[in-house]
Amino acid sequence: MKGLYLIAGYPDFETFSRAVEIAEAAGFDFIEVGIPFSDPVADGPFLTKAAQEAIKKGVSFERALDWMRSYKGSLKLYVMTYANVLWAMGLEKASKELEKVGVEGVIVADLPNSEHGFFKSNGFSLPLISFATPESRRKDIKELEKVNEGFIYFVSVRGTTGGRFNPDEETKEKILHLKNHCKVPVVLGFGISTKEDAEEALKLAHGFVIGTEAVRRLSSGIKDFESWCFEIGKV
Amino acid sequence: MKGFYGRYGGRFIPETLIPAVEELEEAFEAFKKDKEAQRELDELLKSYAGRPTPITYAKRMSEAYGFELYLKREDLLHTGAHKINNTLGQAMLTKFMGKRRIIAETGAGQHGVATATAAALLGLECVIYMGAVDAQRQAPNVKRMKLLGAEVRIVEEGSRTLKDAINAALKDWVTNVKTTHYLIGSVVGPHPFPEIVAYFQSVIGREARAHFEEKGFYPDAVVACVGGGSNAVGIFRGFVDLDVELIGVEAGGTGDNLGEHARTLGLGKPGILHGAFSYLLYDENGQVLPVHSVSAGLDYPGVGPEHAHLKDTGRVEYAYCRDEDALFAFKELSRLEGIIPALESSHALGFLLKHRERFEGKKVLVNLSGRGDKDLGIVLGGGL
Ligand SMILES: Cc1ncc(COP(=O)(O)O)c(C=O)c1O
Repeated sequence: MKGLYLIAGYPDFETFSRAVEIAEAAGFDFIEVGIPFSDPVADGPFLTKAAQEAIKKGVSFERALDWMRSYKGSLKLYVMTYANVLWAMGLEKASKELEKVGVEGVIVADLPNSEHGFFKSNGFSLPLISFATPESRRKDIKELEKVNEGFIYFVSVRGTTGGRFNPDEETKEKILHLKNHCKVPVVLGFGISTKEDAEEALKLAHGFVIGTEAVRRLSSGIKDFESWCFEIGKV
Repeated sequence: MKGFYGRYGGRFIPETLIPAVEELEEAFEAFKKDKEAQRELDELLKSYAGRPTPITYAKRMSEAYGFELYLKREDLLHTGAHKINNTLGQAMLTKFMGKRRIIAETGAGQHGVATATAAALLGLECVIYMGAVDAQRQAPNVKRMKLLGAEVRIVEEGSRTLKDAINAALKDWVTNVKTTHYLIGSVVGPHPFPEIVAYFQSVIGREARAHFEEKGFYPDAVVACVGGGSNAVGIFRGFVDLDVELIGVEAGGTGDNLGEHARTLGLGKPGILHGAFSYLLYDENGQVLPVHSVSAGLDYPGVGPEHAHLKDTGRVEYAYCRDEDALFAFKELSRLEGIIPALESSHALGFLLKHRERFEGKKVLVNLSGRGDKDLGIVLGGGL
């Protein structure tokens, strides 16, 4: 399971659409469509700045929804955003709208597993992706083994997006344990940027997702993005 | 529900931080039961911070305005604001958990100074995040923090004020969670922070209530400014079960238009920011809105979840005070009582002066949450 995180409509909707086509051609399986939030506490400086630019250009839940409605490709779509963006739409409404445009699940960076109930009891019915982290304790891991929808998003570094992929031994053990005991795939995210990282990630887990590096490549030009994408896609 | 005040509160933070807040919750529960730790904190509050603080009857101001004004003098505490009540408590919790490094956000700089002070006292490493706009308008406090041995990191992201300092501190925490405690400065953030800060600040209300009980009467109203809401919760908790009006005063800025104020409870709606579901100022797309206040400590689009609940239940009235009325009150209290209040606290006073008829003949207790030395630049710059 190879995925890219891209910010909807960044640097503009045309380039973004083109990038998704390239990702499909390069062999990726899914796209995390980022809906930007003004105060992204899980993001490093690069994605924070990119999100702010996207907001300034008018990217919103509605605009991202429009794009997904018109998307004709075959990549699976997930949405990645922050809690208040969905809350502001109305959780029930947001969930229904996303479901209608074919979104498989939602990754909410500031919604830990223990608050899924808050979203669900307020009418959010799409799968909420569960997180594992290097800090996950035995009891968290036991809970993750029961998850039966979406995938497990393993946040592989302590820190924000854009850090270095360099999991310590204890973290590697956690990833491998989850891979062998979970009902759903385990996908590594945060800090993966090179072909080598991607290869390492696929040894440990079922998949990976690249965010900061993908957005950075895209912002420096579609050609650069394309050659990088094909290199990673071969992994 | 645990971790909620009515429907407000919760833990809306990255999963990586969940074990840390649970560890903190356990440490806090153990701390509350630990007689020795309690005694140690009480001793620090007394012999180091200067508790209990007095209640001053503001005679000349009362005569001039037709009410009976009592001031809870948190401005007399070491470092000059109520913030030290919380930082000493949380710095002790940090040691309790075996952590060595504390980080904090600051707006007015008072919480940063109080954190740096507690860190110096207890031998902890300390990093303070402060928005660039705030570092400029509260410059004396930046110097104080540095002198106290803290590293001050200036935040250039977003609106470069308190909100962005909290974002930066949360990002640091996610990265260094193993060694670091995030010493939040108000009743905001994920559970258990709002409860921890309220617990350490409720000493204000306890003392105030005991004072009035000794005198044989209660005030008719208790008024406090609300930024995140810690000095307000601190004093309100002493009176919440009594037939006493409780009034929280938000920053009215220059007007009610977008970006002119920080009236989170007055003009915001429920939303999710910085770990909690509470009132918030945001647009139809869920993006947090710009806010304004002449006071750096009140210049924040969110508010603690306990206040959201107290608003909905109607137990507390949330009012506002404009910049100019706060500046006026700042000067009035200085002139009439020889007390220079913080611009934050001046909002509570400014509200009172503006609505003097409503309080005619009434006994009003104002939480004077801090002193105003840090604000001379702003106030004198504006023409005293
Ligand atoms: C003196 C003083 N009062 C009040 C506040 C506002 O915070 P809170 O609402 O948490 O009391 C601050 C914050 O910086 C402050 O310095």
